[in-house]
Amino acid sequence: MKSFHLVGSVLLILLAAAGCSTVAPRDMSLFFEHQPMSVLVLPPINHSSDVDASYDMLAMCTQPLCELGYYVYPVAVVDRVMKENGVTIPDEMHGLPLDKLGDVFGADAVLYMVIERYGSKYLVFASQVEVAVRASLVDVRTGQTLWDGSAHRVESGSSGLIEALVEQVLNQLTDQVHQVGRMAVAELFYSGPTGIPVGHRFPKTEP
Amino acid sequence: MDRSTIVRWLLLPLWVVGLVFLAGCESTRPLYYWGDYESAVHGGLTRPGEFPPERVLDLLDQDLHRAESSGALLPPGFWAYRGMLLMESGDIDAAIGAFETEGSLYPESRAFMDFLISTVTTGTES
Repeated sequence: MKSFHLVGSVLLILLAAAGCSTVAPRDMSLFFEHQPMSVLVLPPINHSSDVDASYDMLAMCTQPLCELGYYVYPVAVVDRVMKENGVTIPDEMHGLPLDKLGDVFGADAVLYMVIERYGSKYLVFASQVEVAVRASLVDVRTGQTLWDGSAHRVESGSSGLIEALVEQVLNQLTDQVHQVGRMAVAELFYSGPTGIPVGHRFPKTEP
Repeated sequence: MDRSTIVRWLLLPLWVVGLVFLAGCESTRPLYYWGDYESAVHGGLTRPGEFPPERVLDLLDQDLHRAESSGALLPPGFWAYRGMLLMESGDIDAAIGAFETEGSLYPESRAFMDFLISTVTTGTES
């Protein structure tokens, strides 16, 4: 009984400490110098074979970025405005000059994403779902890259702790590739020292 | 009180420290009420046939009521998206109202909302 309590409580502290710890923070001075408040997320360029991958991922990005404290332009409205102006595919959207994007949207930063993998791979005895994505956040005024990152997740049927948590919090879309996509997005934006720092709408002091 | 009970009580603070610590790094409650917003956006983008503006507006209206009754804040983009759907279903005045709401709730969107309002108004004049 005694050892259970001792081991249990010490483990709990260690677990918590591990969760909080920051590992080798990278130089984010450029980011903080420009400190964007609003992010224009463009439809990702899709290198996978799933035709829905771009819109899937586009829709998934708003929530995590908003919860980090940024203003995120409504992705469906942005997409529509682009299309009405003759810019119809993500590759073209990614090629638009920053000053144009600044004029129309007033955005501080643009998030460019490229999906490398998105979908299921069927092996002999099991299936795997794989999502790989990379992203960069570019300052509209200077064209400098403020942040970049990538995430690669391969999931089989089993689910670990992080997966269980993500599924529990975000249970709207049941499709497996959506869930793995969400994990990849969470990993991309939230993974501590390599994630995106919190924005101006994030509460300063925690209650 | 036997020894094991004493030890258990002595170790209680350790449990508390652990739990407080864990609570400290856990992300706090969401900033916004999300409801069906993301599914609505996703449906509208990927399956517009299944998700015509009227259906998506219904989904957003439900979110609106639930957010209002719980005093929660609707996320960035919600009102602008609503404005776009209202515009598509021909309700120009309500669309402009929604764009104005987005702009005042989220000043970061002001330039874009002004752009949208100008497109809507020039669109109706022509």
